[in-house]
Amino acid sequence: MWIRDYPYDFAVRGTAGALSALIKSIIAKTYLLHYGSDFLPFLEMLPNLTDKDAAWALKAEDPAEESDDSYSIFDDDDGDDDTTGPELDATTPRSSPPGTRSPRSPTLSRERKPSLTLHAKSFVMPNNSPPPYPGNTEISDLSAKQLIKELVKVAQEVNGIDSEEIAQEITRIEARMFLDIEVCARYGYFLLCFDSCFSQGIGYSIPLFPARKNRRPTPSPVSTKYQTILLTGE
Amino acid sequence: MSRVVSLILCHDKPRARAKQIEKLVDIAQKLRTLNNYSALRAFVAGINNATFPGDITMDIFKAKAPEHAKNLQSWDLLLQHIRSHRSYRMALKNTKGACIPAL
Repeated sequence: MWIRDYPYDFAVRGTAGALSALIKSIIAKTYLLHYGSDFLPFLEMLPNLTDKDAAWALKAEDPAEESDDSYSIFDDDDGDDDTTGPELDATTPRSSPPGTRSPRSPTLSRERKPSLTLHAKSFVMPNNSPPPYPGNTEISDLSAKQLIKELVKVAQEVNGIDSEEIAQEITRIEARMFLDIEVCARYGYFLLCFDSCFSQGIGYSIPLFPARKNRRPTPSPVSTKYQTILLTGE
Repeated sequence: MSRVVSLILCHDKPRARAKQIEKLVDIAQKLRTLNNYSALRAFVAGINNATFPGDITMDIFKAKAPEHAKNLQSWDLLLQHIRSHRSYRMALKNTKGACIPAL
Protein backbone atom coordinates (compact mmCIF):
# COMPACT_ATOMS: atom_id res chain seq x y z
CA MET A 1 0.00 0.00 0.00
CA TRP A 2 2.88 2.38 0.78
CA ILE A 3 4.48 1.59 -2.53
CA ARG A 4 1.24 2.41 -4.24
CA ASP A 5 0.54 5.63 -2.35
CA TYR A 6 4.03 7.05 -1.78
CA PRO A 7 6.41 5.41 -4.25
CA TYR A 8 8.80 8.36 -4.22
CA ASP A 9 9.57 7.68 -0.55
CA PHE A 10 11.66 4.79 -1.74
CA ALA A 11 13.84 7.13 -3.76
CA VAL A 12 15.47 8.41 -0.57
CA ARG A 13 19.11 7.50 -0.25
CA GLY A 14 19.46 4.30 1.71
CA THR A 15 15.87 3.19 1.29
CA ALA A 16 16.45 1.46 -2.02
CA GLY A 17 19.19 -0.67 -0.54
CA ALA A 18 17.05 -1.65 2.38
CA LEU A 19 14.11 -2.48 0.18
CA SER A 20 16.15 -4.57 -2.20
CA ALA A 21 17.73 -6.43 0.70
CA LEU A 22 14.30 -7.14 2.13
CA ILE A 23 12.96 -8.38 -1.17
CA LYS A 24 16.00 -10.55 -1.75
CA SER A 25 15.57 -12.18 1.64
CA ILE A 26 11.88 -12.73 0.92
CA ILE A 27 12.45 -14.38 -2.44
CA ALA A 28 15.19 -16.51 -0.93
CA LYS A 29 12.44 -18.45 0.85
CA THR A 30 10.53 -20.74 -1.44
CA TYR A 31 7.29 -20.33 0.47
CA LEU A 32 7.55 -16.54 0.20
CA LEU A 33 8.69 -16.43 -3.40
CA HIS A 34 5.20 -15.79 -4.66
CA TYR A 35 4.78 -12.73 -2.48
CA GLY A 36 8.26 -11.40 -3.14
CA SER A 37 7.81 -11.59 -6.86
CA ASP A 38 5.08 -8.92 -6.59
CA PHE A 39 7.74 -6.41 -5.56
CA LEU A 40 10.14 -7.10 -8.44
CA PRO A 41 8.47 -4.76 -10.97
CA PHE A 42 8.66 -1.94 -8.45
CA LEU A 43 12.35 -2.66 -7.88
CA GLU A 44 12.99 -2.22 -11.57
CA MET A 45 11.33 1.17 -11.70
CA LEU A 46 12.95 2.35 -8.46
CA PRO A 47 15.99 3.96 -10.16
CA ASN A 48 13.66 6.15 -12.20
CA LEU A 49 11.92 7.58 -9.16
CA THR A 50 12.86 10.91 -7.64
CA ASP A 51 12.25 12.08 -4.13
CA LYS A 52 9.60 14.79 -4.35
CA ASP A 53 10.07 15.87 -0.75
CA ALA A 54 13.83 16.29 -0.93
CA ALA A 55 13.54 20.10 -0.90
CA TRP A 56 12.17 20.33 2.59
CA ALA A 57 13.58 17.11 4.02
CA LEU A 58 16.27 16.93 6.62
CA LYS A 59 19.66 15.86 5.38
CA ALA A 60 19.98 12.10 5.55
CA GLU A 61 22.92 10.63 7.40
CA ASP A 62 25.30 8.57 5.35
CA PRO A 63 24.24 4.98 5.76
CA ALA A 64 26.89 2.81 7.42
CA GLU A 65 26.45 -0.01 4.96
CA GLU A 66 24.30 0.25 1.96
CA SER A 67 24.96 -3.22 0.63
CA ASP A 68 22.22 -5.76 0.64
CA ASP A 69 24.25 -8.14 2.77
CA SER A 70 24.05 -5.83 5.75
CA TYR A 71 20.49 -6.80 6.37
CA SER A 72 19.58 -10.26 7.55
CA ILE A 73 15.99 -10.09 8.49
CA PHE A 74 14.80 -13.63 8.08
CA ASP A 75 17.31 -16.08 9.41
CA ASP A 76 15.05 -18.81 10.61
CA ASP A 77 13.60 -21.86 8.99
CA ASP A 78 10.64 -23.91 10.05
CA GLY A 79 12.59 -26.76 11.55
CA ASP A 80 15.02 -24.63 13.44
CA ASP A 81 14.42 -24.59 17.16
CA ASP A 82 16.76 -21.76 17.97
CA THR A 83 14.96 -19.22 15.88
CA THR A 84 14.22 -15.88 17.26
CA GLY A 85 12.56 -14.37 14.25
CA PRO A 86 13.77 -11.04 12.93
CA GLU A 87 17.31 -10.34 14.01
CA LEU A 88 17.83 -6.68 13.42
CA ASP A 89 21.11 -5.91 15.06
CA ALA A 90 20.36 -3.29 17.66
CA THR A 91 23.98 -2.37 18.12
CA THR A 92 24.62 -1.37 14.50
CA PRO A 93 23.06 2.01 13.89
CA ARG A 94 20.98 2.32 10.77
CA SER A 95 20.26 5.48 8.95
CA SER A 96 16.69 6.35 9.40
CA PRO A 97 15.02 8.13 6.55
CA PRO A 98 14.57 11.52 8.12
CA GLY A 99 11.70 13.76 7.30
CA THR A 100 11.13 12.32 3.89
CA ARG A 101 8.02 10.55 4.91
CA SER A 102 4.70 12.21 4.95
CA PRO A 103 4.34 14.68 7.83
CA ARG A 104 1.46 12.61 9.04
CA SER A 105 3.64 9.64 9.96
CA PRO A 106 6.41 9.86 12.53
CA THR A 107 10.01 9.21 11.59
CA LEU A 108 10.72 5.59 12.28
CA SER A 109 13.99 4.40 13.66
CA ARG A 110 15.29 1.04 12.55
CA GLU A 111 16.97 0.44 15.84
CA ARG A 112 15.21 -2.22 17.74
CA LYS A 113 14.30 -0.88 21.11
CA PRO A 114 14.06 -3.26 24.02
CA SER A 115 10.45 -4.17 24.36
CA LEU A 116 10.64 -6.57 27.24
CA THR A 117 9.05 -5.57 30.47
CA LEU A 118 11.05 -5.52 33.64
CA HIS A 119 9.18 -8.67 34.74
CA ALA A 120 10.33 -10.50 31.62
CA LYS A 121 13.89 -9.40 32.19
CA SER A 122 13.81 -10.52 35.79
CA PHE A 123 12.40 -13.85 34.61
CA VAL A 124 15.33 -14.33 32.29
CA MET A 125 17.87 -13.19 34.83
CA PRO A 126 16.66 -14.58 38.15
CA ASN A 127 19.95 -13.88 39.87
CA ASN A 128 19.54 -10.16 39.46
CA SER A 129 16.88 -8.87 41.71
CA PRO A 130 14.08 -7.22 39.76
CA PRO A 131 14.76 -3.52 39.75
CA PRO A 132 12.07 -1.57 41.52
CA TYR A 133 12.93 1.50 39.55
CA PRO A 134 13.64 1.82 35.84
CA GLY A 135 17.10 2.47 34.58
CA ASN A 136 18.88 -0.52 36.06
CA THR A 137 22.17 -0.57 34.24
CA GLU A 138 22.81 -4.32 34.60
CA ILE A 139 19.66 -5.33 32.77
CA SER A 140 19.93 -2.58 30.20
CA ASP A 141 23.37 -3.91 29.27
CA LEU A 142 21.75 -7.00 27.77
CA SER A 143 20.33 -6.25 24.38
CA ALA A 144 16.72 -7.10 23.64
CA LYS A 145 17.83 -9.81 21.22
CA GLN A 146 19.83 -11.59 23.89
CA LEU A 147 17.02 -11.32 26.39
CA ILE A 148 14.57 -12.82 23.96
CA LYS A 149 17.00 -15.63 23.21
CA GLU A 150 17.29 -16.34 26.90
CA LEU A 151 13.53 -16.31 27.24
CA VAL A 152 13.20 -18.78 24.39
CA LYS A 153 15.72 -21.07 26.08
CA VAL A 154 13.78 -20.88 29.32
CA ALA A 155 10.56 -21.61 27.46
CA GLN A 156 12.14 -24.68 25.87
CA GLU A 157 13.27 -25.89 29.27
CA VAL A 158 9.79 -25.43 30.64
CA ASN A 159 8.38 -27.42 27.75
CA GLY A 160 10.74 -30.26 28.58
CA ILE A 161 9.67 -30.59 32.21
CA ASP A 162 6.64 -32.64 33.19
CA SER A 163 3.53 -30.49 33.71
CA GLU A 164 2.63 -32.33 36.90
CA GLU A 165 5.97 -31.50 38.49
CA ILE A 166 5.70 -27.84 37.56
CA ALA A 167 2.18 -27.64 38.95
CA GLN A 168 3.18 -29.33 42.18
CA GLU A 169 6.14 -27.05 42.68
CA ILE A 170 4.02 -23.96 42.03
CA THR A 171 1.42 -25.22 44.49
CA ARG A 172 4.06 -26.03 47.08
CA ILE A 173 5.50 -22.52 46.91
CA GLU A 174 2.10 -20.81 46.90
CA ALA A 175 0.82 -22.92 49.79
CA ARG A 176 3.78 -21.83 51.88
CA MET A 177 3.19 -18.18 50.97
CA PHE A 178 -0.55 -18.48 51.63
CA LEU A 179 -0.06 -19.99 55.05
CA ASP A 180 2.36 -17.23 55.97
CA ILE A 181 -0.29 -14.56 55.47
CA GLU A 182 -0.99 -12.62 58.62
CA VAL A 183 -3.76 -10.08 58.65
CA CYS A 184 -3.60 -6.99 60.80
CA ALA A 185 -5.73 -7.70 63.88
CA ARG A 186 -7.45 -4.32 63.80
CA TYR A 187 -9.14 -5.02 60.48
CA GLY A 188 -9.54 -8.76 60.94
CA TYR A 189 -12.69 -8.86 63.00
CA PHE A 190 -16.32 -8.25 62.13
CA LEU A 191 -19.59 -9.00 63.81
CA LEU A 192 -21.79 -11.90 62.79
CA CYS A 193 -25.26 -12.28 64.25
CA PHE A 194 -27.18 -15.40 63.37
CA ASP A 195 -30.95 -15.80 63.70
CA SER A 196 -30.57 -18.58 66.18
CA CYS A 197 -28.13 -16.48 68.14
CA PHE A 198 -30.69 -13.68 68.30
CA SER A 199 -33.08 -15.95 70.13
CA GLN A 200 -30.35 -17.03 72.45
CA GLY A 201 -29.19 -13.48 72.89
CA ILE A 202 -25.68 -14.30 71.88
CA GLY A 203 -23.59 -12.59 69.31
CA TYR A 204 -20.32 -13.81 67.99
CA SER A 205 -17.44 -11.93 66.52
CA ILE A 206 -15.42 -14.08 64.23
CA PRO A 207 -12.01 -13.12 62.96
CA LEU A 208 -11.97 -12.61 59.18
CA PHE A 209 -8.60 -14.23 58.70
CA PRO A 210 -7.72 -15.76 61.98
CA ALA A 211 -4.27 -16.84 62.91
CA ARG A 212 -3.69 -20.51 62.53
CA LYS A 213 -3.87 -21.28 66.23
CA ASN A 214 -6.99 -19.30 67.02
CA ARG A 215 -9.76 -20.33 64.65
CA ARG A 216 -12.76 -20.76 67.00
CA PRO A 217 -15.28 -17.94 67.27
CA THR A 218 -15.22 -16.36 70.66
CA PRO A 219 -17.93 -14.19 72.21
CA SER A 220 -16.70 -10.70 72.77
CA PRO A 221 -18.05 -7.90 74.95
CA VAL A 222 -18.55 -5.77 71.84
CA SER A 223 -21.02 -8.23 70.42
CA THR A 224 -23.39 -8.05 73.40
CA LYS A 225 -23.54 -4.29 73.10
CA TYR A 226 -24.56 -4.51 69.45
CA GLN A 227 -26.99 -7.29 70.22
CA THR A 228 -28.68 -5.05 72.75
CA ILE A 229 -28.90 -2.26 70.22
CA LEU A 230 -30.42 -4.53 67.61
CA LEU A 231 -32.97 -6.06 69.98
CA THR A 232 -34.09 -2.87 71.64
CA GLY A 233 -33.69 -0.65 68.63
CA GLU A 234 -31.87 1.97 70.68
CA MET B 1 0.96 -13.71 35.06
CA SER B 2 3.62 -11.55 33.47
CA ARG B 3 5.92 -14.52 33.28
CA VAL B 4 3.26 -16.50 31.45
CA VAL B 5 2.88 -13.62 29.00
CA SER B 6 6.64 -13.43 28.54
CA LEU B 7 6.92 -17.18 27.89
CA ILE B 8 4.27 -16.98 25.18
CA LEU B 9 5.34 -13.78 23.49
CA CYS B 10 9.05 -14.58 23.34
CA HIS B 11 8.22 -16.78 20.32
CA ASP B 12 7.85 -14.94 17.04
CA LYS B 13 5.89 -17.57 15.16
CA PRO B 14 2.22 -18.22 15.89
CA ARG B 15 2.80 -21.96 15.74
CA ALA B 16 5.44 -21.78 18.45
CA ARG B 17 3.19 -19.56 20.56
CA ALA B 18 0.33 -22.00 20.14
CA LYS B 19 2.58 -24.84 21.27
CA GLN B 20 3.60 -22.81 24.31
CA ILE B 21 -0.01 -22.05 25.14
CA GLU B 22 -0.78 -25.75 24.89
CA LYS B 23 1.94 -26.54 27.41
CA LEU B 24 0.75 -23.81 29.76
CA VAL B 25 -2.84 -25.03 29.55
CA ASP B 26 -1.59 -28.51 30.40
CA ILE B 27 0.10 -27.11 33.51
CA ALA B 28 -3.05 -25.19 34.35
CA GLN B 29 -5.00 -28.45 34.12
CA LYS B 30 -2.78 -29.94 36.79
CA LEU B 31 -3.18 -26.81 38.90
CA ARG B 32 -6.93 -27.15 38.66
CA THR B 33 -6.66 -30.72 39.82
CA LEU B 34 -4.67 -29.52 42.82
CA ASN B 35 -7.34 -26.86 43.53
CA ASN B 36 -4.78 -24.08 43.14
CA TYR B 37 -7.15 -21.33 42.03
CA SER B 38 -4.58 -18.60 42.51
CA ALA B 39 -2.10 -20.02 40.03
CA LEU B 40 -4.91 -21.09 37.72
CA ARG B 41 -6.19 -17.54 37.51
CA ALA B 42 -2.67 -16.27 36.87
CA PHE B 43 -2.20 -18.72 34.00
CA VAL B 44 -5.57 -17.95 32.44
CA ALA B 45 -5.02 -14.21 32.76
CA GLY B 46 -1.56 -14.54 31.24
CA ILE B 47 -2.81 -16.52 28.27
CA ASN B 48 -5.67 -14.07 27.68
CA ASN B 49 -3.31 -11.11 27.89
CA ALA B 50 -0.91 -12.65 25.40
CA THR B 51 -3.59 -13.07 22.74
CA PHE B 52 -6.35 -10.98 21.24
CA PRO B 53 -9.62 -11.74 19.46
CA GLY B 54 -8.85 -12.93 15.96
CA ASP B 55 -5.28 -13.94 16.76
CA ILE B 56 -3.96 -16.66 14.49
CA THR B 57 -2.23 -18.18 17.48
CA MET B 58 -5.50 -19.06 19.15
CA ASP B 59 -6.87 -20.49 15.91
CA ILE B 60 -3.85 -22.76 15.60
CA PHE B 61 -4.13 -23.70 19.27
CA LYS B 62 -7.82 -24.56 18.96
CA ALA B 63 -7.20 -26.62 15.85
CA LYS B 64 -4.25 -28.44 17.34
CA ALA B 65 -5.59 -29.09 20.84
CA PRO B 66 -9.38 -28.77 20.94
CA GLU B 67 -9.58 -30.47 24.30
CA HIS B 68 -7.23 -27.96 25.89
CA ALA B 69 -9.11 -25.13 24.21
CA LYS B 70 -12.32 -26.35 25.81
CA ASN B 71 -10.64 -26.48 29.21
CA LEU B 72 -9.35 -22.94 28.79
CA GLN B 73 -12.81 -21.78 27.85
CA SER B 74 -14.33 -23.45 30.90
CA TRP B 75 -11.79 -21.79 33.17
CA ASP B 76 -12.61 -18.46 31.55
CA LEU B 77 -16.22 -19.01 32.56
CA LEU B 78 -15.20 -20.20 36.01
CA LEU B 79 -13.11 -17.12 36.74
CA GLN B 80 -15.23 -14.44 35.11
CA HIS B 81 -16.32 -11.57 37.32
CA ILE B 82 -20.02 -11.77 36.50
CA ARG B 83 -22.25 -11.61 39.59
CA SER B 84 -19.30 -11.07 41.89
CA HIS B 85 -17.36 -14.08 40.69
CA ARG B 86 -20.34 -16.32 41.37
CA SER B 87 -18.98 -19.33 39.50
CA TYR B 88 -15.68 -19.14 41.29
CA ARG B 89 -17.33 -18.75 44.68
CA MET B 90 -19.47 -21.79 44.05
CA ALA B 91 -16.49 -23.81 42.93
CA LEU B 92 -14.58 -22.72 46.02
CA LYS B 93 -17.50 -23.62 48.23
CA ASN B 94 -17.77 -27.06 46.70
CA THR B 95 -14.06 -27.75 46.80
CA LYS B 96 -13.24 -30.70 48.98
CA GLY B 97 -9.92 -30.78 50.72
CA ALA B 98 -7.18 -28.19 50.76
CA CYS B 99 -7.13 -25.43 48.18
CA ILE B 100 -5.41 -22.16 47.48
CA PRO B 101 -7.98 -19.47 46.79
CA ALA B 102 -7.45 -16.72 44.27
CA LEU B 103 -6.64 -13.69 46.39
